[in-house]
Amino acid sequence: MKPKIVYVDDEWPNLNAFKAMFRHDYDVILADSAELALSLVQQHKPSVLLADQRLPNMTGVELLELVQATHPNTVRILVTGYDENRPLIDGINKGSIFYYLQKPWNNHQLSALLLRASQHSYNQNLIQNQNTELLKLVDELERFVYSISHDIRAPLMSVLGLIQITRLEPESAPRYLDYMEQSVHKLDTFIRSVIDHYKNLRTENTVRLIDLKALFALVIETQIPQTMRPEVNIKMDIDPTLNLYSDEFRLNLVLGNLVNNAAKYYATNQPYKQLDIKVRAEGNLVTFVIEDNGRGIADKHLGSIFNIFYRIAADNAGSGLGLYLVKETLNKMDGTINVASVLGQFTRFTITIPNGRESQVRG
Amino acid sequence: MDAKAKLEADCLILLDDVPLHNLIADKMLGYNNLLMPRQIFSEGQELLDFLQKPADELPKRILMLVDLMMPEMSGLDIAEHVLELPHEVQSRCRMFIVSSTIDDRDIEAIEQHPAVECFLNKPLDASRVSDILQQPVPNGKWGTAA
Repeated sequence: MKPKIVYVDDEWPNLNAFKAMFRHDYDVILADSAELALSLVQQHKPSVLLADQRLPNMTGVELLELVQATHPNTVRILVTGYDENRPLIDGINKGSIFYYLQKPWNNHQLSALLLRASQHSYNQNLIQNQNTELLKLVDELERFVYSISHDIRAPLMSVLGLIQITRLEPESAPRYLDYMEQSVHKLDTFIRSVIDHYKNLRTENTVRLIDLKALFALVIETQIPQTMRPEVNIKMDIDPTLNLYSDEFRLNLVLGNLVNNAAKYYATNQPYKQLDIKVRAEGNLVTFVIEDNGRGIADKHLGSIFNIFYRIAADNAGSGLGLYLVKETLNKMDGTINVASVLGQFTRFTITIPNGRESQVRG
Repeated sequence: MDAKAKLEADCLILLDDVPLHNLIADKMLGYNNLLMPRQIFSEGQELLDFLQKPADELPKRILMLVDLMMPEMSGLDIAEHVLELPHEVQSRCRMFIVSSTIDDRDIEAIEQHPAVECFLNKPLDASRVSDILQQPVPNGKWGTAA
């Protein structure tokens, strides 16, 4: 895509000459008034705005100042035929001008200037995007460091407390050792989630043909405790005609977390445990529905369950990372997730991901 | 009553969303001869409901050991609710926050909160609780003059 340039001048011969000269290398947009230029900048967000100083209702410097406030990444160049320094000094002092160009311009000089200006604009955009990403990471890091004191230190402090009471009560050691084991597993789960999260952030999608039956078998084996498995009635309904091309690591992460949650939040007094899995293809999209008849989620929590470190249950079963990780992973896959739930009855997660193509498979 | 009086609590409340932490605290307190009657809760609302009891059913000297980070209501949220209780109920309650946090901002917020008497690290060091209870009762608490 060619960089966009808006040129505003009230003299049409200048506008036409400019367009003729630069239309091959740039997407040139012309304006014969400052008002039109403002609306074109708003519409096209150009890399460069060239403004003649002498415009009917406002000066070029005034126009560039306005654009600086609303579109700081548009590089601003002032063009003037007047041999006077006032506008130049004003413009530079107000910080709104990238370059000052005097008429009549030299085509080679202007060409080099436009190239430099559009590169400058591209770099500004890049820096801005990277800054936004960086701010998100810093925020996440801050929350992560904060969570260390709870999600990492708390299980460790439990182990320490258990060691102390085991010394005082050695006859109860087997029971306390079980508790210690649970705390260590909890800590390990948290660390694994963090690692998965950073792997998801850093790696690109690796598309391959997914054997869904094998993937679900793995998910069930790893996420539903062996002792619970015979109690869970699993109904699997996978579209037999579906050839799914996707990232297996990410899909495993998403499905694994959802199935793990189902297993974790079955109510103890449930007469039977049900897990329904449905996979359907529609056009280019594949939809997974994972539904359990567990404890359900109260309405007041539904809007927050995908937030980092958000926990619902007061029994410490979750770290508040799982569903955040699911959501972030789906973002990376261009997928979506929705949840429906009735407290004490069911929770249904519906995820939709685009089906990849065989041509995306590498190697 | 003399503000320097040393008093025993007649009710000890443990509040932590992790049952294991309540168990550890309970055992530690027991081994340090802090054997007053217990109320063990896993959610802030249970504690607030308990404090809503009619005055004649509510113990006179309540010691509350409250966890900081809990899902629905944090220890500091509970401290805010405590400040809204009738003066008569507030004067019966002494609140300590127990946490694994090492974040200075948390510790500062706890130490500066008017409803919280002190911050204790996890795992609970019950001898510290004992030591604090050996100190004079803060003015206005447990029947001492404000």
